[in-house]
Amino acid sequence: MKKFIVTLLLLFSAKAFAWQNDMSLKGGLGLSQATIHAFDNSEDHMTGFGFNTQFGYRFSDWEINLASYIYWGKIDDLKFRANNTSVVGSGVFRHVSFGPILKYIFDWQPKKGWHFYAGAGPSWSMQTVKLEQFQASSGNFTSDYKLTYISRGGMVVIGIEEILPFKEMHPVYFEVLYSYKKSKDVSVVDASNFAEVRTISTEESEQDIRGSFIMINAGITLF
Amino acid sequence: MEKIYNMIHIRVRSIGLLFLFISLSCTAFSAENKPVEKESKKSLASRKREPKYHYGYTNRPHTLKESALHLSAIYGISWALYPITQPEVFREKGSVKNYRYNFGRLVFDRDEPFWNWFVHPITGSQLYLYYRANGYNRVDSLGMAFISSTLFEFTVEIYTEPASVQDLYQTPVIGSVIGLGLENLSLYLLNSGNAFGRFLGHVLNPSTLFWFYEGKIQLVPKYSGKKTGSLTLMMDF
Repeated sequence: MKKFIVTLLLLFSAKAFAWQNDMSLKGGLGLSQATIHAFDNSEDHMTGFGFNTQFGYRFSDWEINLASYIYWGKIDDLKFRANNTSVVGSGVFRHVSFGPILKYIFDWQPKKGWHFYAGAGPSWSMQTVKLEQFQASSGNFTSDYKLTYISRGGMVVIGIEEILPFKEMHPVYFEVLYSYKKSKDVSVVDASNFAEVRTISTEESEQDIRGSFIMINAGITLF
Repeated sequence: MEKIYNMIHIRVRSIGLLFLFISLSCTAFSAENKPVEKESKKSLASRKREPKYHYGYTNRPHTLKESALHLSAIYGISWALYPITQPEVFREKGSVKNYRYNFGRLVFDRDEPFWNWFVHPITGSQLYLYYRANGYNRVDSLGMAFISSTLFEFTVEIYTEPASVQDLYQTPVIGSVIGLGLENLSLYLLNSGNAFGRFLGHVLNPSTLFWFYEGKIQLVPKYSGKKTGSLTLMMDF
């Protein structure tokens, strides 16, 4: 009974009191909209869905996490040039990014029982494109090949999270993340052998391929 | 042909009659023996099988020596399993020269999703469940799985290829997310009290089969006959 009353008091206290000074693992699902600015200043759009995970430590106002965002989706009319090959095509893409993210948790509650947070951090990512329909204007490119872009950039995030006294109550979060990346290198990879892929060529990206990603994520604190 | 058709027809009719008889007799039997009762929580609970063992997890503190022993054991197993599970890669790409070249390197690998998003996270989930079985809490299990997979990436797998960013993160972190799901599902199945559930629970969570698993409790109900009963919980240490 005593514990019940204490929990009620914590839940309905005027001042927000969320769990703190502990490690946590968060996970959830999300949607992504990306725009790739290709070498010829054209734009390719990608829409995808996926999941996100964050593992880190929460202090009273700050939180530092190692985060990962993974998305799958479709891409249309992608233009690229690599290994002396120019290709235009449509297919599927996979996006995976990692990075530390530092968040500040505000006292401001946009909705009662939910607090607002904002964060930022660097980001390293890899986009893999597997073309299903394509036209190669020069060079050699087969349907077994896939493209990989290694990119570097940064991300900013704003979101809201439930204020709960214990992380075991699985607080829910919703966030919007914006990420901007610039490709470092582009590789053409032969994926005909499922067990062992072979890199055909890797080129330093002098083509100034840039991408901006907007992701809407939702999830819970798992433990 | 007509004869065969008639025989089949008679047989189908006989089977139909037999089925009808069994159904009716079962209904009559259950109606006779079970008075109509309201499906209260108590009556539903009384229909539940009582398992002989209760499976769960215990969280306890560990000494540094104990944790070092666990990490060493997993490290030794990973050295033994790597060439067995990937003999061709180990033979064709593995060398001491590669080991030296790859030492300290960290890259994005371009492996197929099967490896990055299935094999590595599943391996991570089993690492997480191994540490859970040894009494580590969830966060510590993730931490220990992180150390184990990092040791593998930086000192074992580099015999054939450099350490990968995706594997470093996804093995322990996504592995722990999957491990948490497997933990809950396997406990439900193991405590279901039926043989198939136990079998499936052990398949999903093999660490519960071994001697080091600390969460297995034997339930021994006792009834003295004088309106008193007791439940003895037996646990091996």
